[in-house]
Amino acid sequence: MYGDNSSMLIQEGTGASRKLGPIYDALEHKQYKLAYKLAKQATQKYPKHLGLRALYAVTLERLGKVDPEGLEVGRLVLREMRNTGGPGGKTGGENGSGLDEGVVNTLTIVFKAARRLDELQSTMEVIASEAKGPESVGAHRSLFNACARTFSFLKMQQCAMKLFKKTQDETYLFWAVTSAYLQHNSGGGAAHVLALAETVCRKAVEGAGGMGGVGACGPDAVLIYVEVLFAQGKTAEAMRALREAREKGAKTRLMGSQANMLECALCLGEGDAAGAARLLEEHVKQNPEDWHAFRVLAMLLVAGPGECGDECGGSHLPQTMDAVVSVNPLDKAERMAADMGRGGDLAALRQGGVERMERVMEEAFPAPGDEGEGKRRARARHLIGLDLHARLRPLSRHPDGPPAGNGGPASKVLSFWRDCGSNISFASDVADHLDLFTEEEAEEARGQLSREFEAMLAELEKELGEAEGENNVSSRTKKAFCKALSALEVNFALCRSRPAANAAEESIGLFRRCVDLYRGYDERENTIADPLVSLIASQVYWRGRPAFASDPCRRMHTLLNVLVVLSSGVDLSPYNSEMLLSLSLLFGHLGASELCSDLFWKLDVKYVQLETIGAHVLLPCLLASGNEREASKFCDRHQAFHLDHNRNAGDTFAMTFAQGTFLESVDFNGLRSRLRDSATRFAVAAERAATRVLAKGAQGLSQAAQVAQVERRELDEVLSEGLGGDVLLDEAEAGSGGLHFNQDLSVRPEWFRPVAEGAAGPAGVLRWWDDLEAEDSNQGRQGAAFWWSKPNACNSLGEERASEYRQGYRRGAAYRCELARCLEAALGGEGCGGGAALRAGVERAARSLGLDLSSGPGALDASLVGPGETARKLQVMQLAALAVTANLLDCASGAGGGQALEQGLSALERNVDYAVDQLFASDVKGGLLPDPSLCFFGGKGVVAVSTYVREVVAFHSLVYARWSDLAGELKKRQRKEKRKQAKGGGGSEPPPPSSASPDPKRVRDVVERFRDRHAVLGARLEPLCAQHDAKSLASAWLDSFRQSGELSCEGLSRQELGDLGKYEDVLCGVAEGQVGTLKVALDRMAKFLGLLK
Amino acid sequence: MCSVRSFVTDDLFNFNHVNLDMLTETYNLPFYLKYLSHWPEYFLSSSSPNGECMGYIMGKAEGVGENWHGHISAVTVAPNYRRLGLAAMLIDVLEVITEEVHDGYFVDLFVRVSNLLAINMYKKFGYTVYRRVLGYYGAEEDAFDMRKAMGRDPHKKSMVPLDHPVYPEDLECD
Repeated sequence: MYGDNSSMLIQEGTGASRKLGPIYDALEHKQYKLAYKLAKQATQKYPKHLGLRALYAVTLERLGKVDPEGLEVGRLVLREMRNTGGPGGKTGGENGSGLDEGVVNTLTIVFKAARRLDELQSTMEVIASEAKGPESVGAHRSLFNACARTFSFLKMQQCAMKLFKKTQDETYLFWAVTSAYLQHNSGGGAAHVLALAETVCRKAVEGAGGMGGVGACGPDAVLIYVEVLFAQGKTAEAMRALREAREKGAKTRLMGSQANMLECALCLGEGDAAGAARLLEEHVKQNPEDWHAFRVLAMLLVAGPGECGDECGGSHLPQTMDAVVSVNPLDKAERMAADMGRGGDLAALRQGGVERMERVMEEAFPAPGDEGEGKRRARARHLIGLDLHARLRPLSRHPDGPPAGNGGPASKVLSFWRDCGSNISFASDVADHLDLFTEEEAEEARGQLSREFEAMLAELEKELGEAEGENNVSSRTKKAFCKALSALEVNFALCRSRPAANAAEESIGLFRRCVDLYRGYDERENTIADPLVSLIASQVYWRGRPAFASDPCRRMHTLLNVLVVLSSGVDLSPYNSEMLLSLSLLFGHLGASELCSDLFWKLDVKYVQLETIGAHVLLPCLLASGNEREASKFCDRHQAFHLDHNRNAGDTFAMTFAQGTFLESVDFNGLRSRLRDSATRFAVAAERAATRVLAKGAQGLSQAAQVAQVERRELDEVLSEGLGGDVLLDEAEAGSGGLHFNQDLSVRPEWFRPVAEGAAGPAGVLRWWDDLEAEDSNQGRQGAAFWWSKPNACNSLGEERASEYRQGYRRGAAYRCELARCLEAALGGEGCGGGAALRAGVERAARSLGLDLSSGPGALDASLVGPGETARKLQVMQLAALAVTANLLDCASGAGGGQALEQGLSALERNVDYAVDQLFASDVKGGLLPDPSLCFFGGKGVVAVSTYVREVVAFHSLVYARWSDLAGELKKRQRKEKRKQAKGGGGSEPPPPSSASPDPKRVRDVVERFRDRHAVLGARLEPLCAQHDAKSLASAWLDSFRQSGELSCEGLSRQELGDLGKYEDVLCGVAEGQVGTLKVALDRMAKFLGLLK
Repeated sequence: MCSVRSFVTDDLFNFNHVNLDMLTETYNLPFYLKYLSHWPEYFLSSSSPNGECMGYIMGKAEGVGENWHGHISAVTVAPNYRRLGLAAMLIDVLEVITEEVHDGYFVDLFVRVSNLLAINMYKKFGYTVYRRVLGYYGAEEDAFDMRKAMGRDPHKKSMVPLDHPVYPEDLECD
């Protein structure tokens, strides 16, 4: 952990070296103060021992004194090492001075923590250039590692070549080759870099005694050679190299079958489709479950051009690994085969292709349907059958096309269900093929599946009857249940847009019959009945969905019904992630952020999952509910994850060279780019800055300004790393190339559409509600699946909605980053470059929202009034306050702009009036507060109030507090000018008419009006909070359910949980959360308005 | 039907439906990267036709002399793809790699003594309890060290159970 101390340990037995052990122990046990004390004493006694001093620097780093204390010690050690390790210098010795790789590794910790690895690298360059003899190799290895830690590919390459010259070890040549390959792949090297790498490879092969000896240079040495050739389009040479290496027994990381597939991909690269098909045929006969190989073979032998699905459209991922053919070659083979098909190069091969494919199937699956076939093999046979059907079907419509095979998709799915319906994965296995169905076929399939379901239900009941009173349910019963469930799932997926009226009841009926199946599980396990609960939740949602736009009550009832279903499921299976995440999202969107957070963390989400799940599931909910404490905690954890990776990425990258796993070097470089230029990272950094400023803001302007400065610096630091910041903020880069989207959207339920703009901020929650209020266009539905349900969905290049999502996310993140910067500038921080700079920032932020302010802030007014999304209106209000602040800054500094200020102030007044009168009106359509007796705040109400208070009231109050200072400055300036004019003008020109002198009192009037109107709003909201305790609210909701006759899941609750208590408990939880959120919002409103007194 | 392929770092962004399972641990990035950089051949993922990760296995080769062996560090299958025999398939592949690539004497793994489901599953795959490791999971729980001999150990010497438990510090490998 604290560096390779092997060479330090050589000096064991010396007094100084004996001191090292206890310091290491203390560090390992996290007793940093003790380690520091011991290290300090030891260095005083042995001041020339570099190992001890390096360790002393580490103890300083652990105590948080890395800069300047730790760094200073580190620099001194390096300097001394350089002086004593250079030519003629004293090396090694009793004092442990001289060049020492262990010492360098230890110091790396300190320089890394101080983000000064470049300094270490440059010192190492000098040391390496001066070192001679055997020590020179160690020095150059240390230099190589130092360069690897900073990802300096060119320097790595040069250093590796020097190492080869010094040692004649071919391994170093592959270090150089990999470095060159990385240079090229990262866009930093021209084509000649690869040519050079190829030459170096040849030299290495020669030196190693041919391809057979290359394996000794590392498990990936052969493969990186193949890559270098492949990347230059020299596939024939690559193939020759691979074959020669295999013939001569060179070791690689690949198993035989993987190497065959690499050959297959190279065949395709060379245009030899027939050769590739032969290899694939052999492979699939041996590996009948390898769908990927089957698919590539089918693409070669059967499918016509243009029939390739999304998966062939590529993805929006770092290009580095995407270009590598040696790891998972079939990924690339699929694309190459599709390209060949599109180019019409496969016509000859496809003559008789169907028959050939059938023969392969017969050989791969010699005994279909036999008992001994096994689950996986049967599943494979049916899936390949469906895949082939999907390929043949469009071709069969052509007069000369091949027949699509026996039966339509309905009979195929049914036959699949009969053989494999008891697989838990059945529904998701067929989901991708459901868009094959015509309306009639879907109807036919549904009819047949319904009949099968009934038959299966009867069998299940018989099984359950026989098993009554027994502790464990037999596997036959479980199988029967799973088959019945699969039938329901597929049936529902076939008609999700028009679900059958009794679909949910059918499922609830099944659930009621099979609750015994929950017995005998460890509580941490998923049960086989869990997917049924998720299915019921989905059915309840889609049944209510068509009425959402017209009937807010129905909307709320449906969501609460879903909530109750899922809560019942979680009671029975407490750690089912699908249900927990759905519940967490629902609670969060209903304004019960504590429940949302509790359920989320119950899943033990950590490390990379903070990036892939947390930022789009948890964070927006916390922010929308004003839960700053939890939001701040989340942001800190997220940032710590990124910092940790930043710190360690270089080490793990360097490790790949030591291990000879060169393809991992390429992969790790891609990972680094994926995290460094992550849109999520920027979005969370912006939210962190805003959260901290707002959390401190209630204490006063100066505190807020101070925090805003610190946060802006940190935000700018994050934005300045890599390409991401520029790509995020620069509108010219609207294509968002270079930015990475790491969200795993597939964890969201199909009925919880991800929101792009503001996905990590509070706006995301409001937009989701706005979506519900819009007509149900069943957006996002693609066949039976939703676009975000697919793995890696938001990186899909073939999916238009994924592209829209990426663009929206980029815009949303850019807006929040600019907003945080503008707020800091408005509060008078370092970033405040006067009115013009702030105005430019506001214009950039507005552009991110798609608003053009170049002709003045009038566009903001237009966006606020009239129909539109709530989230957008709140954003517009933020921008309006900043735009007026820019005008006020101009006036206060004497730059004119009085008229613009006056216009801006009037607009702001209108905005505030509009917000208070219209947004919070209970009797206006589109208002946020429908009659509380119906359903409290109608779902969106609480989060809208909370977000309004956070994003508008708190934000404006902070800015207005600053206005008081500016108004004072303005007044002073006006007095001064008056005095000057009274004295004779001092030669100054009278101000131009457009810059008419603004009245500071007018500024104060606007602020007072803002404060007074919100005080009234607060007074209106307060009684609502007071008169509704959670219990009474839950009862009111329940009554509302009863009256509407929508207690659809009553059966589920009543049967399994005894009475309606479950309903009341769940509703009570939501009500408590909502009342709590509202109280926090009111408290915050009072505090921030207090700044304006 | 599943394709077994090498795990790549992009998979870390898509393995949530596997790792959100309570019995599957999510580690920090250096942990995964260490396995990828040292033993990439042992880190395999199985994917479904829809591209979803069905499960994965991570392992390593370690030990000296007759203790040279393959170790299963983690094997996990997404809840949706259970009961298909996928874990057995992944373990099979790891055993083949241990024999073909590393020529190891045996394959071993650690399992919580309370995890009877897993213990019985491993027994079905030919693994036997070699020894008990006291406090392997902290103060929380002991582990069983289970082993299966490979072709290089024809007399299955490596599987002969120890008659006494050991402590984590007594283990030959980390």
